Amino acid sequence: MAKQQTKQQGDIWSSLLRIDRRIIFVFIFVALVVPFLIPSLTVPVEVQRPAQDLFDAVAALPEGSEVIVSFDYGPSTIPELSPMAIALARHCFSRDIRIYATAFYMEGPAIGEALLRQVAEEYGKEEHVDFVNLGFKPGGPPAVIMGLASSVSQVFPTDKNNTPLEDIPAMQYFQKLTDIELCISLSASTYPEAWAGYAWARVGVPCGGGVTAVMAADFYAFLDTGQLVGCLMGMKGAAEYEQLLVDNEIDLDAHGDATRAMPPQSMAHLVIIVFVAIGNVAMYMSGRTGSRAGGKRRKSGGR
Amino acid sequence: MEMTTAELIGIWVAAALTFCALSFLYKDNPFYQVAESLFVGVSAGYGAAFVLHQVIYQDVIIPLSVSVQVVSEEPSALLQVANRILPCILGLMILARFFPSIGWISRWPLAFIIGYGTGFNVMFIIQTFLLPQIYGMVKPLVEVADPTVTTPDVVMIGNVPLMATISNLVLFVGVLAVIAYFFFSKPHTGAYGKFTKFGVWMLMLGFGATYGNTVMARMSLLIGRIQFLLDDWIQGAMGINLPG
Repeated sequence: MAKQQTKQQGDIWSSLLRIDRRIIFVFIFVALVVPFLIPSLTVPVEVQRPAQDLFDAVAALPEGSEVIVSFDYGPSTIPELSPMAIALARHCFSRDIRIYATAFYMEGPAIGEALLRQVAEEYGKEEHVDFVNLGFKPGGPPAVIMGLASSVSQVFPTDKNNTPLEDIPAMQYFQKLTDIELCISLSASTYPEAWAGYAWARVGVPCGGGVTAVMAADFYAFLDTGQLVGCLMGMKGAAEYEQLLVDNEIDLDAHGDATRAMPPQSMAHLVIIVFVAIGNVAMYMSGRTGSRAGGKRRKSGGR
Repeated sequence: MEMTTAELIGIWVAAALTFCALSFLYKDNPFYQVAESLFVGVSAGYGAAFVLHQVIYQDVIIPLSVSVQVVSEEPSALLQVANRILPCILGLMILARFFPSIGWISRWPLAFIIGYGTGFNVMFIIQTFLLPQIYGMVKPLVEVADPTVTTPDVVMIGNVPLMATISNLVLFVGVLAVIAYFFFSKPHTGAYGKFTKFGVWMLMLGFGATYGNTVMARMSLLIGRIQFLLDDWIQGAMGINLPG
């Protein structure tokens, strides 16, 4: 009798280990969609040190100064990085800081153009006066960043839409990299490292970053050493920057896509944690009852 | 906001392709394969068109034609435009690989690329990854705060900020333990073995943080698609009002 009960328990744990992955997908999908349909469901956005530091760095710039925002990403990471770009552009334009957009991704200039024009319209800013989209240039960071250190017009004779630099009023303030107060790379890759390695280490221009969450863990080391003044980590980082814009009364309508995405993201994480816990308990228990799918418990402790 | 017909078509196509891509979660199927093939084709086409227009035309054809014009008018200006002509010649030399009899010519530009890359990267690695990270690790094991500066949020024991000190200790011991784990000339037994085990735990913590961030990133991308479906497709293109 006791043996049969143990076998039944073992079957339950084993069946939990064999949950169809599509069932998990349905749970995740529901966890992501439902919070969007319940407007009252919000989660507090606690601002972390890296986002606060980047915000402080931008806030410390003199009004009317110049920053580079490098759109080093493509469409696949727009949900994470574009909210950062919008929040940063709002902060810069609210302080009359001119933005010079560059890109190490081919798709970056088109993404940057759409975002900058959208935010510029909100703040009554003009292209070529308050922001310039210099576009993409092949050759990678060594050639482009070190080229900018010598002369902008050598690297970018025209802007993205082929307007000669001498016809762009804002370019009188940006002749070479040392005219820039801060470089911010929004990247789906390791480009902030390149900006830190060339612009900061060789030219002495402070650099910040905005990276996808996948890359986030790699960049804490650069924050500790001061190679990056601050960094936004994934969609959460974008939500933190939006929160900072609201808290500091820079833009009370700054809560955008990233802030809206926090409740579904939290719900999805909860679902994943629950399934990870179920999987681990089931793995442990099925091992104890000796009925794990695939035979006896292995000495090494599992798969 | 009123949408143009082109925008409406774009949104419907994007929504349909989103569903095609997500259908792979159930199982591989022709709809997914169509979306996948379209993605590959469009990406390749975009890349080719972009390179032709923004790189070959902008950075090769135009500078070369200007250089040729300058030299034809003033032959002594050849040296001044050499920096535009030489890269183009090096680029053409790489294409010699397609012709076996003169394939050896492509080694010259490759040698240039390797030399240039190595020269830049050696300094880059040292200045970005090696020295600053070593400096960053060398921290006082016990932090001592400036007594004249009050920081109400920081837990202090005397003049010692507790968390900063713990953080520095973990960093120091953790780095040593991880390095010890990768030191294979000494058997990982006894007290040394326990120390390297601690290094493994540090590595596991790092991998765990990376995994957590990866999950967050993937969820963010799915959220982006869901936002598109709810906002642009259902509310924008279909005109159905949703709560929220």
